[in-house]
Amino acid sequence: MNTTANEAIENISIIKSTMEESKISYEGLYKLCLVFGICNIALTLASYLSVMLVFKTAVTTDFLIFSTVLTRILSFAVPLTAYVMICKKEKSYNNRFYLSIIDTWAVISIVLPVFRIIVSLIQYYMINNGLLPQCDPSNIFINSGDLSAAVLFLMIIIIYSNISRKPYIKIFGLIIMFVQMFISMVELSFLPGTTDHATLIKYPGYEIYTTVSGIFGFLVFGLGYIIIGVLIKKKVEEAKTGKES
Amino acid sequence: MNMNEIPEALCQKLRIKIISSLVSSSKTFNELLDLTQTTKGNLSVQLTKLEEWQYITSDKVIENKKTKTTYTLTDTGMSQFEEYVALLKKIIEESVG
Repeated sequence: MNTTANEAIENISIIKSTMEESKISYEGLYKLCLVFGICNIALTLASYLSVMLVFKTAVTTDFLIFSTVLTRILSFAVPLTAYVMICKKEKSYNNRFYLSIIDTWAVISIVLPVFRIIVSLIQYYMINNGLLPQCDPSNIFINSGDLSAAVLFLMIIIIYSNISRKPYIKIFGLIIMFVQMFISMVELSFLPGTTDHATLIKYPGYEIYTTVSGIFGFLVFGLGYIIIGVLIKKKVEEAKTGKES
Repeated sequence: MNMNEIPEALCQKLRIKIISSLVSSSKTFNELLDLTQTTKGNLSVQLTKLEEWQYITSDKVIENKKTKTTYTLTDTGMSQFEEYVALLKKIIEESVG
């Protein structure tokens, strides 16, 4: 084999290995999974331990409250720290769908628990001031359909935000999710035996009832998807014609 | 393309690495830095040359007050690269017999 052939083999080898390496590594996602998994195991063990201490020793209820609050805070503070640290590196990468996966994960694991706490506090305030009937304070987003609809819509908004390189669009998605949670909380507070309080509209002559979340769902998850779809199509056409900003 | 017609853009290992990296998708400067394992200065020089020869295009975007440059392989760059890979394949096949 002559020198030229050896060079050719060497160059082919460089091309092959570079092309393999240029595929997405998903390293950030792997690290996030690792941190989140360890965090979940540690928090589960900690909660078991605190319950054991309450039953077996003379630990006060203050300790139980403290450990519950600490667990709640750590459950989003640890993933948030990991997300911020990993994103510092990953944000410089170009694959916007990959970045969208990381952002969506962050919203579900970090923002959702924070929103739940905020909505719970609002609910607590409203119950104390007689604005809502007494109800189970844990009933936010009890409907898995509402939750999945909100998360899926938010995911599409995050993808569009990354494709169009407009990070502020994500804020709209978060606002929509918060409003959806708030409406669900108010409606579910009226649900036990007093469903009519949650009814907004009774169409004249028809026994059809619509709730606030029904109208919100129609507007956001119906028209919202169409608008986002049109915007994505526009963005793709801009990219094809080279007008992308 | 034959042995005497290999363009200058494909006569250097770093430039071959850069072009190979851009075959699958566009990449940012940092991604290329990661993939080529070279210095910022060296990479910058080679990217400028490839852009001058119209093998790649660059797109600068300001994100979070920082400039992010994305490089994309042009049709010219892609066809030249394909011809080069075909030539390498031919050389290896001929040497094997």
